[in-house]
Amino acid sequence: MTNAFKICIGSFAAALLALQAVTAALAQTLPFGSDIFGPPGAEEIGDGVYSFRSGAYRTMFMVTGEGVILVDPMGEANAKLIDESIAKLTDKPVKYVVYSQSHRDRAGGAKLFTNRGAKVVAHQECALNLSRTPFPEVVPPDITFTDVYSVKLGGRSMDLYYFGPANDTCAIVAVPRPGDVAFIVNVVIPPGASLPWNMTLADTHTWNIVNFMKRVEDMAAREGVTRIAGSFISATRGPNGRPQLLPGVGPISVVTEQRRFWEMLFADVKAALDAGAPSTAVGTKIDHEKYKVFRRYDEKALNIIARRVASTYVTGR
Amino acid sequence: MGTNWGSATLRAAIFFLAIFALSLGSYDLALAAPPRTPPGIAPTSVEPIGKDLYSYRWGPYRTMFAVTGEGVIVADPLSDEAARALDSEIDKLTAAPVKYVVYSHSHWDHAAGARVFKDQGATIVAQDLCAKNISETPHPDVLPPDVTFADDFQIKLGDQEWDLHYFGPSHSDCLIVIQPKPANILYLVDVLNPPFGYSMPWNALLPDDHIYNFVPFFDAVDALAKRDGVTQITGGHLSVIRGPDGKPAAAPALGPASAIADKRRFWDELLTAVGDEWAKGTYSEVIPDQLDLDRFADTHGYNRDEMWLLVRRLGSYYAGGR
Ligand SMILES: [Zn+2]
Repeated sequence: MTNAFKICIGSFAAALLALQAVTAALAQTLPFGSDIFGPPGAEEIGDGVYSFRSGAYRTMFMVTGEGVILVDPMGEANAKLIDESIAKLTDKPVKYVVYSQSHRDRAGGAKLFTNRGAKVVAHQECALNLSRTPFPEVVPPDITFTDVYSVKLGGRSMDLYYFGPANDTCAIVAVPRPGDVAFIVNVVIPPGASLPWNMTLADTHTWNIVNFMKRVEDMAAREGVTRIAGSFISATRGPNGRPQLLPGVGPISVVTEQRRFWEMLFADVKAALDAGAPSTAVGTKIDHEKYKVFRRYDEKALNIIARRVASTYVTGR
Repeated sequence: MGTNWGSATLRAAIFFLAIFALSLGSYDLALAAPPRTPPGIAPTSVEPIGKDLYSYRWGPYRTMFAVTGEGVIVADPLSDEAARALDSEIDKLTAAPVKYVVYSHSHWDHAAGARVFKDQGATIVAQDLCAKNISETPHPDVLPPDVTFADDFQIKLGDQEWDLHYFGPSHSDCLIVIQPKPANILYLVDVLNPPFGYSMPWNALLPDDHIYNFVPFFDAVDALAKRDGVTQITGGHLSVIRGPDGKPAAAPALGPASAIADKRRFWDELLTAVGDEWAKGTYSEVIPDQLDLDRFADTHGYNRDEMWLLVRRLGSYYAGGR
């Protein structure tokens, strides 16, 4: 266990353990577009770099002197809200839309920007996915890449890294430059390590999840990335008992903590299987106590996630 | 186990046993331990399913093989231990070596164990993407294929002909349908297990399943069956039914081809129900609580908790497209 991990668990655990069930339930049922945390809007998380939130969803954009690079329009309704938000900051247009993955809830809505000349950039597997499952609101990418790509605009860049399948086969990590923050879609939810957003792990490639985290950590160490921005909100209970939004950014150590979550779960599931537990019931054979420090802990959710991990041991996937 | 149980109770018990056997057995296979089956069901069996064609059952798993004067064709080897046991059964029928091994898909619990056949000179055949999958998620007992193909492939040996058909991603992205002739049946693994058509999937979480192509996949399989007059199918698993004595028994390896259309209808009806709820604006994660799950209570293997999970997974499919 690293020091960062201990500190993080220590500081979060004291404040949040009692609230975990409430916040987990809250975050899990918070509807798309819900205004429980106020109207959608953008907050600056770096020089000209903004985290935009609408309901439970977050995305990121970077404003430069020559235009804007936007990650994920998040559907047609959100694209309009993002457009309004950007108009308050600059009169320059969105020049590039970057897809963090191919899921329609994130990739949908780019037409508003492509109609004004924006180009869509995505990993080549996203193009393949979208050709197999096209949706009317999802614009296919104009520019695709395989490993690394740098979207350059106004003397700055958004550097895109592919680390193999994670959530979706084509998820990328986006780093606005100059800057020290990386946008990571779905598989980490700053400001802390957590149970996955979706307990069914839909389209999540568990076999590569630890490796994905390791590659993000390596990249961060190499490239001087110290913070991460996420694609979902995290919430807690405020002093007045009302739900309170937590920051959309966290330290890069969250990625390490998230990797340790997966490594711990894989090890526990393997031990339960080795001890003869049926794969449908491995979750009930593991010690839940040590998982309660992770945000969004929920007994049923952890059991289901453990069952999904068991499938990986049986089938390799 | 009493014989006076109501059918729903018995169904539930059988479902439990089947799930128990599957989950326990499948992992045990990965560890090369002896197969386990529900009480009263033999651990292994060899069952003729056509001219010179046999279903081999290893615990809760099934595969098939064809014997010719020029050699043997084996489908999934299942595991090192299962393949060695199968090899002994083949030796009782012929002195000829295994010439081909055909993977139905790349999952370890079906594709492992080909080494004993490879040592006899067998050629391993699989769909292109299985080779990619096996290189991405290697397992010491899963040998990479020697020959791969994209859409269709034909193996001819003696008077046997195995036609291999790929209909796009379904369960894994490389699953194929095998049509051995002259038996002219279809071998379908994990997507369907005869005799049950309108039935729950093996795993409600649908790990490595490609939901978007389920209905087109079954349409293609059904069209193939109709085109070629296929009336019977076999699967990759044991199905548990009620025997003449009222106790759980192994279902015959062959079941009616009508199960293909029934499984298609299951996915179509369930997907439509979930999709309609999503289209109303219901947040995907609460769809299982909004939908009347018991509408699907007639589904073979129905269990409310499993259906809740399945509907939750399908909700994510509508929200994200995958
Ligand atoms: Zn499988």
